[in-house]
Amino acid sequence: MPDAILRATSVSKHFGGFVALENVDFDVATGERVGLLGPNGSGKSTLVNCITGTLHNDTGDVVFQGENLNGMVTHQRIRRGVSRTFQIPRPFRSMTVRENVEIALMYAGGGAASSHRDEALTILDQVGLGKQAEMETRQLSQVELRKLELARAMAARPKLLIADEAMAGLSNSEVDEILKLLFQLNERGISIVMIEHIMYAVMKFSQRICVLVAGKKIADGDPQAVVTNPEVEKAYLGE
Amino acid sequence: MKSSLSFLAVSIIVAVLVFFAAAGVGNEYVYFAGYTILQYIVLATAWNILGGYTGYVNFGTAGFFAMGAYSTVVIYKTIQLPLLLAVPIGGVVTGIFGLLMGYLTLRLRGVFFAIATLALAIVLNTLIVNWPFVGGSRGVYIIRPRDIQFFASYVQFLFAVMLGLAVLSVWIARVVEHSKLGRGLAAIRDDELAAECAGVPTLRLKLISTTLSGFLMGVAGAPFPYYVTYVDPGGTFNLAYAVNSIAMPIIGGTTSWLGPLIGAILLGTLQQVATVTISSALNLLIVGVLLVLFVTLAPNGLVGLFAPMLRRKKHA
Repeated sequence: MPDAILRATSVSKHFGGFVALENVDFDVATGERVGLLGPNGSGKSTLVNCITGTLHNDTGDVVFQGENLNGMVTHQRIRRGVSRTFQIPRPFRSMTVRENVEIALMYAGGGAASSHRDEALTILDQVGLGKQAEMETRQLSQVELRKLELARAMAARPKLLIADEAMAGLSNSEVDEILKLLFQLNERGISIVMIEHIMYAVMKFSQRICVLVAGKKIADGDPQAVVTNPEVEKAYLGE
Repeated sequence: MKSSLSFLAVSIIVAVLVFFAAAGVGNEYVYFAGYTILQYIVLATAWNILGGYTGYVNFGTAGFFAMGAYSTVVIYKTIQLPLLLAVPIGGVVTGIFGLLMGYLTLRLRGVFFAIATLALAIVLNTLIVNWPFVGGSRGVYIIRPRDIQFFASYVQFLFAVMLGLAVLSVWIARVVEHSKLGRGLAAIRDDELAAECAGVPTLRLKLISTTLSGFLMGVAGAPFPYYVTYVDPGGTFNLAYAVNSIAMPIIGGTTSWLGPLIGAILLGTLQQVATVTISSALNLLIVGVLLVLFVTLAPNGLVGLFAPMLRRKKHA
């Protein structure tokens, strides 16, 4: 892939004797929407953690915009433009919704300190949380917490956003809301990796799908071709 | 910046008023009792920077306090600098110790971090017990200067020094709380992984927190040898310092500079009254009972109890 913004090559991660990832190659092009699929325990979150620096890969390289991220801690990678959301929302409970977003603006988003408040409100408006800006996070619903995760990730001014099961547990209409937001972010040129079990959302969103099973990549390509791939069917449906 | 300077100016005015009010009582014991309460304001505020703002519970306060005290002992026995120079030196020594402790222990979390800080205090205690130069287990006597310029007595001077340190520590805590650093520390306290993923350099901020907290605990301990005039490991590594410096912020509230201040004044005063009227043996019992009450009935402390009311009034 010539215009890859992210290039992870031969990434392996072991936890004692358990092989979580084995020689996985994973690329994302600039502005691309990629779906990352796999059954539970297949290594999706481990790969995300290796890309964002929450875990350090045992072997292989994670290169972002031509710079090798190996050895960098998470906040350094975030500041370079690799941002993520969490499978289970992790808001800062002692802060208001606006302050949650301001933290990311302060530490990763850059810009003048005096403008952070207004910028946070703008981002919250964009994700539909403008009216909840001064609320405490415990007052938010599940879909609002997911939106807050996205708002905080946006505040870090990402070039690559990894949405880790951003729609888990949401209703169909709520899934559509989050999808719409992700499309809007992508239209601004942000590459997006979507980890999701909701196939409707993955198929609608992804330009390319990559499938992991037991720490190995078994398929990578056009969404229609991947979901009809016999190996993928076997991994999901059994023999 | 303007608001923090105004706060400092108001704090200095309050401190001056407190000083003259104490002088007006005309009883030297007021300085002794007041010194202890002020010392606890510094210790509780220092503990709260790491324990309350950052969420890392330090059980080793006595170790930091003792290090500040023994820094003064070493200075007294070697270069004999005046107390006003020994205090910042004690602070720097414990600040560096705090930084080293941070490097050693900050990869631990929760109860493991707390146990590690307790263990470090015990290691330090053992070192002091086996260091004859500072008196070892027998302890060491310090002779106060007979006269001190501008003050009626040396105890009055010590009271004024601790009053200044209390103002300094509360001011630092407030500046930290309202700064970018304070917001980063709050993010770490709430969720360290999420903070790191929001771009917060968590390790660096935690190291700043341990260093600052250690510095303030050290400056609280530095005048102690001149206060008691006899320093021994049993007195300086006393469990009461660790327990009180945790209990006071918890009773007052850990998320704001005001909490440790209120907690130290309330608990410190109560302990002094109990010491004079009943027995100092009651002090730990008082702490224990209040801790149980607050942890169960008001886990966010007094500030946590009243903050929502104040917020509602503000928005009304």
